[in-house]
Amino acid sequence: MSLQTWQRIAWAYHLVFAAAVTWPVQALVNDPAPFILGLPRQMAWCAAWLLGSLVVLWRLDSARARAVLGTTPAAGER
Amino acid sequence: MDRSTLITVIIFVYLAVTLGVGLVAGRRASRSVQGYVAGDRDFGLLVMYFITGATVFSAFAFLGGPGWAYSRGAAAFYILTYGVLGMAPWYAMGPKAAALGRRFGFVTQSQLLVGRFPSRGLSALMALLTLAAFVPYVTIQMRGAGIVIEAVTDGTIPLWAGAAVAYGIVMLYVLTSGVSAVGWTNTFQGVFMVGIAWALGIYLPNRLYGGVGPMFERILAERPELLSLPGLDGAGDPWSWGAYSTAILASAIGLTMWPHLFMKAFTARDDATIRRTVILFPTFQLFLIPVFLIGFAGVLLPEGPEQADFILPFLILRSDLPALVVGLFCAGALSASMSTGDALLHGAASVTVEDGVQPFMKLSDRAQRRLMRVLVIVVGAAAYVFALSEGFSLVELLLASYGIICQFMPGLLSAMYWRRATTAGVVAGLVAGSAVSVFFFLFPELKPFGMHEGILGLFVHIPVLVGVSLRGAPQDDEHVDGYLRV
Repeated sequence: MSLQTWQRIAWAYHLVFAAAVTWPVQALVNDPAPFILGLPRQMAWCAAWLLGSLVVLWRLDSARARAVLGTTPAAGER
Repeated sequence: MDRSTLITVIIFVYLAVTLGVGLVAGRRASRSVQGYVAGDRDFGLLVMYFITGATVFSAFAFLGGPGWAYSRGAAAFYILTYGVLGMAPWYAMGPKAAALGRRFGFVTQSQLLVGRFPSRGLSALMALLTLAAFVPYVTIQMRGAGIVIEAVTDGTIPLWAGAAVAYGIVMLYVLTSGVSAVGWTNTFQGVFMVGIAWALGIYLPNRLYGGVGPMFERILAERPELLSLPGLDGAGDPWSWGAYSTAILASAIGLTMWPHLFMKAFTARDDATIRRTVILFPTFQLFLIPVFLIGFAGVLLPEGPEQADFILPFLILRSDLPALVVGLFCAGALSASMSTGDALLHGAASVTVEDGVQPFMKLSDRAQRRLMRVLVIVVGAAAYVFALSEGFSLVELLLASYGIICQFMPGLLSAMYWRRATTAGVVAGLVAGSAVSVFFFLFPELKPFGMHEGILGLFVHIPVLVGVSLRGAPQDDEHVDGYLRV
């Protein structure tokens, strides 16, 4: 995917992240059970969004590096 | 050697190593203002990673995080989320701010704002608001350091002496080496605090309950209200979703805009370093998980500390841990306190000189550095006096200042991204937003849905900034292009 696509994905991801950890979406994920790795589900939910941020921004940075090297695939190309 | 002496020795060894790292770090930096404030714009990824993480996570997180989990349960999860939300915009904003810094020679946040929107009054207002926000913040760090040392040494080292020794060392290395000392000591302290937090976060639930899962199963059975969002408020009543959600948003915006963090964009060696620091930040943020586990570990104990924030030292001192572990915990807590306090002291002095004095009275490079050093001592001394004052409501002052720091966001975003913004609009928005924020802080019963005063301030700030800007004449295109086309 192109740098521009990854930029859009990163913006969208963090907007959804903000929505997912605030009312009303977080209220839908408000049952501590089942525990995930021993942690209450809401806590694991928040941690998962953090790690997702790392992955999305890392992919964005990889796309940026490819673009700088001039090897960016055309938009829509994988 | 008895237990108390051994702990005291460990603390002093830790402080000596920190001082050594701080003093050695300054040898590489130049003797210019840029060297003192921005580290000659030469920080690499390792230092940027730790300076960001360790500065964000203060004594407030190391002691207050477990305190929140212990007394307010799931409400603490908001602290887990806002850091990454606040840091992510830096992936785009950080390199742009750094490029502007390199182009125009900026070393502070306010210089960037006032460069685009020339106004000496705006510069002075930013310096004043920053200083007003920093002093209570430094005070809390100092008090935290003093309390921890007093608690773990059974009063052998009283609060006043613990705070004085810890912050005497901080001031010494900040005075000598500037931001280079802040960077390298934060690297050392960051490794320490993260290591200690993970070790204790796994150890305490295992020792007290047989594991993390069994601990939460018992809490769910005996105190289920603590595992249901949005958790509890300070009085033990259910917190509101409005307060929980806006606390995340206000804290995220505040984190993006804290001047001592913003200024670190000017210290990075290159744009890639800033971007990679942002990418890796979630790995630092995860350190809050063991911090919360420590707090939850205290929930079902038959007795607890008088103040929730002391649950961590309370558990440490009642777990029959070896003196070595207690001493290392103390060093971890001091790391959290000092790694934030040094950045704040350095930031307060730099901002006061560069934004509060320099626009009104041109000083030579040497005079600026000298004045910054004097101010490090003045701010440190003022915070020390407050730290020893009982009953001074610093936490409330800090919360109020967070609302004001949020008000820096519209102006700074406008400076970098909005062509039509004007000086009058930015000043009017900042004054209106700050006034609303302070009003709702003083009259919390009037807050709609319990929303954070910083967010309520932004509801007024943004329309005022946009409205006043659109009514005035636009800025010169060539001037604006210098900021937007970087």
